[in-house]
Amino acid sequence: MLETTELVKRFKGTYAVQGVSLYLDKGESVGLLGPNGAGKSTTISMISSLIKPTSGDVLLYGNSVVKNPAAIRKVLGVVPQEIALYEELTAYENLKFFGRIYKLKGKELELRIQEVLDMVGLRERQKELVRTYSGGMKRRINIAAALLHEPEIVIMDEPTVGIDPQSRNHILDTVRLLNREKGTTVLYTSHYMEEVEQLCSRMYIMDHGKVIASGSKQELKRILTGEDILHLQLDGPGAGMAGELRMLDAVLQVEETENGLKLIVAKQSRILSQVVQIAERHQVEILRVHVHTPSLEDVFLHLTGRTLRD
Amino acid sequence: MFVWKDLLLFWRDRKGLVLLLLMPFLMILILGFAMKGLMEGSPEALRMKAALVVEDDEASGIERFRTELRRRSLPEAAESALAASAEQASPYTLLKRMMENEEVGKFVEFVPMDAETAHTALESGEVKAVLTVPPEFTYKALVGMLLGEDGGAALRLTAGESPVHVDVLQGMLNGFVRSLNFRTALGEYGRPDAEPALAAGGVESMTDAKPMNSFLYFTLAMSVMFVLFVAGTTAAKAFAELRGRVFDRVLLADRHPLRFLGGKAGAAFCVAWLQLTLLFVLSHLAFGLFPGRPFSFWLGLSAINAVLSIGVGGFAALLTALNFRFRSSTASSMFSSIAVTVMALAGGSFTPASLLPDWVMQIGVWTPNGLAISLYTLWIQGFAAVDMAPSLLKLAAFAVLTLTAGIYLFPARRRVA
Repeated sequence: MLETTELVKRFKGTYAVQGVSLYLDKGESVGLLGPNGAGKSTTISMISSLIKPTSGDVLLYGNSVVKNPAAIRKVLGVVPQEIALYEELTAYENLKFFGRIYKLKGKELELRIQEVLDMVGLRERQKELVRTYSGGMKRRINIAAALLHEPEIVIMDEPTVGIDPQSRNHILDTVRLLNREKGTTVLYTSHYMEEVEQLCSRMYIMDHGKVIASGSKQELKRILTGEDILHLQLDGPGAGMAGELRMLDAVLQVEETENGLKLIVAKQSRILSQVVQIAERHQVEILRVHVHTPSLEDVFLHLTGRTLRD
Repeated sequence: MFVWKDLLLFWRDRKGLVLLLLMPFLMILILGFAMKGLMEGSPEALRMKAALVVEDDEASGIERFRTELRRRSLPEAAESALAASAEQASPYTLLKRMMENEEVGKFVEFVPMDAETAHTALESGEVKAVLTVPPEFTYKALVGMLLGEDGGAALRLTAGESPVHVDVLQGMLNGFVRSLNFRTALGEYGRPDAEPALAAGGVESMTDAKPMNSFLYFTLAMSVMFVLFVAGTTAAKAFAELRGRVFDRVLLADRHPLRFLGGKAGAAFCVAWLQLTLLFVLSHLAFGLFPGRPFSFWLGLSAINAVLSIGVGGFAALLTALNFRFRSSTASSMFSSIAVTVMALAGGSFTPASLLPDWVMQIGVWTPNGLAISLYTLWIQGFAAVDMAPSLLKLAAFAVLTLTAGIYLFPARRRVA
């Protein structure tokens, strides 16, 4: 349905996106993961025809969006990361304006406004000024405004940033509803791994403007099948011993955590005794050791050397 | 739909509304009362004392002029006619008559002093200006007036720090000099009974309408100044839409960006027209500006409001385009903080244009607010449409120019995001 081929965007000599190729099948829910500055928003802007790629193309049903942006605009709804609303208007007035710019009018417009308000759970508060809303409520209206024209494809750029758990759950439910019940194709961008794990069947991981991995949750986790994750709970700071641990052949990565260290180590490597010795040398007591199978977060750490929230 | 949304946003922006409506009305109220005396030409408000320093000797000047006539061996009849004219229309005598004129006396009291005392008095503020009649003034002025040669005669005016008073005095002296030249040019020096027409300062009235009072003047001046802020405010709001990515939604809905720009110009037009109309109606109700004027008068006023508002719409479009092109609100901020002040100054919103230096006036007649003041004044004083046409055309041209520039500079849809 939608495909990008080798998308590149260069701003004044700096590459924001370097050769991104991805695709979305009809009715799919796909995640686009990456830390801040990975190039996710620029990719979305190119897909939605807001900025022109330096090179590469976006194809909708095989037709170039770069050459004919009107084609994608009819079927696309974009939820921007910013609250792109008029704060001095009520939710209803906002939706009425955005509906009218999509050429909806009369009863049809009224019906759609009430439908999307129901979808985001704000029907009762539609007559209140947006500026009086909580952050979560604003984000929900931000989503509603992108759904008025019943788009076939919805792109959501970090729709849950900085909101309360109740609004977050509501947004996740809305995305599920859109995708599973209404068959809307969703491209969901986030740096919350658990959201993408819950909502998306496939995902792309971006870093430094490139797609560094892609596939289903299981496919991505298989990247780390040769590794184990060791959580060490320590009675003191682990920074001192981290350097020495990195010197060990079996240790692939070391990350400091809130109460100790997290190690990615080669599967079935017998390094525990060495770890204990290093801890003793640094006069740090190991309170607990926990071994677990890798999560997507670990995959990301493995691929990029940093966490999603860095 | 764009205009509707922008008007709603203006309506909800209570702080902005206060700036656009209440502020100008307060300014009209304050300045109207403060400048009442000056604006209505009250002699008491403008009354001043000026020192008169006479270094010229009129009698010996006339005698020297006679000697000059004899030296030139003119025909006897001409010589005696010129000598008689010199006696009867001596420039200094005419100047004295001007100073003794009852009308002039209402504004300026000339106190004879010697040069040193006069300057001490000026420094202490006892007098507002010193008028010096320099040595050989009579002789040189007669040579200039009667023999048509450049005698180099000039009166000297030394002013203190009261520009309004000094302007009035200078206006009188300029009037005197113009009358003298006019009289000489017409050869009227043979009619000593013909007094030069003295410009006594105050307000000139060219029709049957009453001269402007301070409230009327400041209603015009403040309205045309504050209406310009509508353009800056509109463009600033538009930039907030760009920054907040609301404009992206417009593009994503596949609406042409010029519809957005048109909405800005349209909303600015509506707000400007409403602002002007409300200010005129409020001021009329508060200060009785246009008693007994017929409906057609209000219609005309409203039409001028509309033309000026189109200009404001054009400005809003241009500033919006600049904000979008440079992705910064500098253009609208600079406009509201600097350009409006400069235009208000040059266009006569702070001081009546007639009191401004010539070069400032020349700039002022090209500003939208200056043009609008001139149009309102002509309409209020009952001038015919033909007299208003030049200013009206200039204002309309200005609106078309800014609107066209705005459309030209507004970034094309694929370049904006």
